[in-house]
Amino acid sequence: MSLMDQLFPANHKTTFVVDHTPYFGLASNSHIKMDFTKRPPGGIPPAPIFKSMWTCSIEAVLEYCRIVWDLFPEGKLIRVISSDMQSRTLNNWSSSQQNVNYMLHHLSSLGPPAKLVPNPNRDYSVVYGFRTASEAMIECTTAQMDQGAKKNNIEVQNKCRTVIITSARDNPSIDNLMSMFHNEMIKSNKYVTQPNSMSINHCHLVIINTYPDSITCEVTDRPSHPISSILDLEVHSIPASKIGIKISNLLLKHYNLASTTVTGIPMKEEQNASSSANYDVEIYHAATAHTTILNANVADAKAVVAKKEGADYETIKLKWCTPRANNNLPDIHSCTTLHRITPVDINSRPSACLITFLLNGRSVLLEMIKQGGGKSMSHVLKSYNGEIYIHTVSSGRTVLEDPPAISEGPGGKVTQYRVADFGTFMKLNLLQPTKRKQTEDKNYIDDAKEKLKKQTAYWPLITSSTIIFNLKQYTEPMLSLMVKDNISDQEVMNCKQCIYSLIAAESKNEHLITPNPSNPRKMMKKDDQYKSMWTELETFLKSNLYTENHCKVLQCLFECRGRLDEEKIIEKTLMRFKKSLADRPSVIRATTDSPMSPPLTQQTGIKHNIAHKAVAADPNSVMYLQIVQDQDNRRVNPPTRPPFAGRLKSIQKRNGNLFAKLYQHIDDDTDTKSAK
Amino acid sequence: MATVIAIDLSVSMLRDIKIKDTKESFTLLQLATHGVNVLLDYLAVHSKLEFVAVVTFSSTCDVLCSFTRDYDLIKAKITQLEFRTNTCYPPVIQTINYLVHSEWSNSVTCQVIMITDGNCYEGLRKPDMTPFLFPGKLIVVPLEQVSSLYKNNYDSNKLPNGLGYITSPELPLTPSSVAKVFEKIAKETYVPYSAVLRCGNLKSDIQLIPPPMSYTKAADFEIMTCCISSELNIIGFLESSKVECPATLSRHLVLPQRILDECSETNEAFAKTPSFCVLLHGALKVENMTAVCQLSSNWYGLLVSWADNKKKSNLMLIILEPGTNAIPWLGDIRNLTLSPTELNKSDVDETQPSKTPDKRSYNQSQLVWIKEAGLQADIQKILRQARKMPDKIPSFYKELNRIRKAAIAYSFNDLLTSIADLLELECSNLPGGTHPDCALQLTHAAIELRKPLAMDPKLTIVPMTTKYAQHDLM
Repeated sequence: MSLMDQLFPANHKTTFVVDHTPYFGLASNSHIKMDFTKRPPGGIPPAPIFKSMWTCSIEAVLEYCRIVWDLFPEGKLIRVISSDMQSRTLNNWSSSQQNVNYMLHHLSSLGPPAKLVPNPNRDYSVVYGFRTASEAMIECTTAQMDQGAKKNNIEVQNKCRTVIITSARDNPSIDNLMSMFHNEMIKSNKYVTQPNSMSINHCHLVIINTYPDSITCEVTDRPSHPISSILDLEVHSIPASKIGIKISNLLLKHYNLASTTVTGIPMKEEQNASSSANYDVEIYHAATAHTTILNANVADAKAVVAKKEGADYETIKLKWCTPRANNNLPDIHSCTTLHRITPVDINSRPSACLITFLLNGRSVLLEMIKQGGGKSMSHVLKSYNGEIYIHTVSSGRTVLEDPPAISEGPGGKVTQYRVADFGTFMKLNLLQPTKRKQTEDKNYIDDAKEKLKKQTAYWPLITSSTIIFNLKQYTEPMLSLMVKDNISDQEVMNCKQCIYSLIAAESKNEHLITPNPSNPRKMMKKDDQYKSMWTELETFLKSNLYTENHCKVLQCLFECRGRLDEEKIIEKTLMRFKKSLADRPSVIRATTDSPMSPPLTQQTGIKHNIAHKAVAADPNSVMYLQIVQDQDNRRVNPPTRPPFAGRLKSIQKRNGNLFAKLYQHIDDDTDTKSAK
Repeated sequence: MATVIAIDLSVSMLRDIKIKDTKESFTLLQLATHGVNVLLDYLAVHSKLEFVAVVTFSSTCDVLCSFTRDYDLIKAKITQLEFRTNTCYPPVIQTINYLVHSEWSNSVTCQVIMITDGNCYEGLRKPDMTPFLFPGKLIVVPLEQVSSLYKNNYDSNKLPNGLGYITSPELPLTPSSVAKVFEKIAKETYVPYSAVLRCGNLKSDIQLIPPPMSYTKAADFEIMTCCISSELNIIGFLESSKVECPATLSRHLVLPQRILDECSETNEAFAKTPSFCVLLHGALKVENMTAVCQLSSNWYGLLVSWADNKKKSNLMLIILEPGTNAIPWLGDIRNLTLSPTELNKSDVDETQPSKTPDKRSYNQSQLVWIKEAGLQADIQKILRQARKMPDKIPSFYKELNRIRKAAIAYSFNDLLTSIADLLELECSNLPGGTHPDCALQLTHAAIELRKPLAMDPKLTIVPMTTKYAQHDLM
């Protein structure tokens, strides 16, 4: 398949033109036995019934639609047009009309083909549908319009497929139909008006010539061949009762589908529930689900490929593998492809059983029986939200074999990670689907990143570099409240309560950390403990100044600690904060990686520098707020001068310096050394 | 990533190359072996986890050594090569396709480095060359004493069909010029991928092994070529049970960055410096959760804890298919939000992440009668229910109307009168002890089906109200 065919596939837009003339009201002459009940001996069996040619055609078309829309809920559009004395469209390209129930509803009001009444003014003909089909083809679909609006380098090509189901006398009549269709296409292409329509670049025309089963037909099959630069023709001639099978064979080619037969499904007998027999169920899905199997050993591939009975395509037979009770699914990462499936015989009892089994949330493993009799698990069937998928499972070795354990690498020997706290953090940050669609100005991903940033503004990695996170009996709920976007006045009170309880503990001279009986010497002195705790708490609160209420908590800390000078500064800041909030309602971002941040000041007691390295923040002064604002204002007006070319190409080294290689065209070892 | 080295053993590789100004001389094959050794030495230092296989070829192709990390074993094996016949390229591609597929399935990117004589310019462009059936590319190193005649005929060193490219050593051929070209290939091919893993303000310098590749996805209307950015941003977390099995493009170990060329003392210090990466791994493992991270504007991945065996646990990046719908059952990834407050409001969302507006055909009662058996099964079903009336009255009428509506849509008019006949026949066949309501309902249904109004899609046939029972209509 060429790139252009891949980019602009004909199966994006398919139009069916179905003959609805009185001739199609004729019986197909293929009878269906209606002999179901016991009758007295000598009784006459009920008469068999016949489908009309219209019934045969339209149910085949709907089956085509059913399979396509089951497998491709979006992007593969089908329209159906009927033609008798005039043409009628059953649906349009809009997604609300692209479903089988909509079509069934409209078919009910269309009714069967009329009985033949000679009408001198107008003939019955399938040809009326040709113009409607051409008009449908030039009409842009939503996807085509979206792509056209994007102004990509490649111009959108309008490629389509039209399937005509009719009855012709002989080959010349088929040629006649084809040339009429061709003319309609050329005519329609002349009347294209942007942006709602676009001329047809290419159409694949499939004529299905059908006739009652009892007669023979002179029309011969023709493989796909070009008629003009814009039209390819393919002809199939088939008795009415076989259209259904024919159309599903064509479907596989049109959408590049493949068939898998799940073999050996154990099912309880309807009559005798204690015994079970094995059944096969055939499913369709995208052909790529088979790539792995077919690319592997040729002999193994041959062992599973079988010709489908009564059809001209092949199916791959995979064996049902009875699921074990627990843990039967492979690892999530060994699944390489994922495709929707649909059963071929949707009404059959084995299909229904398999479907119900899957929809009830159980999964089915499929095994490939190799030529030598060996087995390998190759696929998994599983449903999610009422849709069934086939997963390809990678059976090969993995290149990740025997990896170095994470505990052997950097940071691997550290044992005091706050794993439980991070677990809580993760649970507070679960992703949930939302019904609201995101708009241009509301981007959930950026929101999420922003939220994570706020919650990690001060987040020591290990227990030994923090005191406040080890004193949850005092510091909660303050620790979890402060990281929120907004805190209510009540929550401010709760936070203040935490500070008060710490003050109370200090005044009672309580131990902040219970002495470790095994190693009492390592304990910090009580005074030092409180000192470090207050310093850390201050750092924490300063890292989370998102609103006025956040500031109030910090203010409370200063008040309690009797640091009046700082208190005054924060009051001023608060004033400024209020003013800036009035000017600009958006929340101030916590810019933590500002190059303008003041250098780290030495802290007492605990190893703060490690924590700071991790959070890359230094909210150590009230001036910080000022800087945050400046930084934010600067962002509004980014520098207009372009940075130096060398700076753009530079790489950041570990020490933070930028490094750019000069004279890059001299690609020599000595050069690299001297640059180092 | 994995590498296949293909060494030409045709007679032309036997040619002696005299080194100018010395008495030394080497065969082309000796130079080839030298080149491979240079490559293996590079891997041993910079890319220890690389799997390497060696095939040798002439008119046929043999696997000398299957994929291994034991580079010394390979070195030992390539010292004992023997010459064969003439060069022939198609079998090499076939053998390599088979080798890679049987070992890795098709999920692993594989480099193929081919060392051959000057014939490759022409030979690899022949129409009978098939492409590789796995992701990867071919790098051809032609060893030849004089600049090939063919070389000038083709202005580019690129091979057709995106197969790969040719890179030749500088002339004159010497062991050092061969070593140089292999060093160049190694440096270009085995680039360690460094990135920053970020979760809000927490971050860690990491290395991805094997290096992630850019990916080109051809969908309807667009071809997307995506590259992973150097910053992987965690956007939130999911319970592993909710992620289930999305399609994965590739998997990569996420190792905290270690600095090479430094003494063991600082290495020790690094092992004791806390790393966010290790913390994340620990928490994901304990809680059995998955982190969702953004790889580039339209590409996402998952971070999980993964263990090769029970002892060696690791952080792994699972790269999903580009686009925002890589996990269809979660819906558009851009519509995932973090707000826990909203969650409380609508708990329905939690259980059913993305409701599909239209049910699939197998999830609703759609009737397909293309095969005779399908229709017959549906008729038998109503006959079964007919016999069990009055108990089954609601389901009998429900089923009857369902068949009737389908018959109307398909314009299958004969079916209704035929079913009426069958119901009447059933009525006359009812055994003695049957509830009288059964016969009444059967006759009623048959009469209704014969009325011209029966073909009206708006009509619903309702049970006859009899003195026997109050029916709960469905």
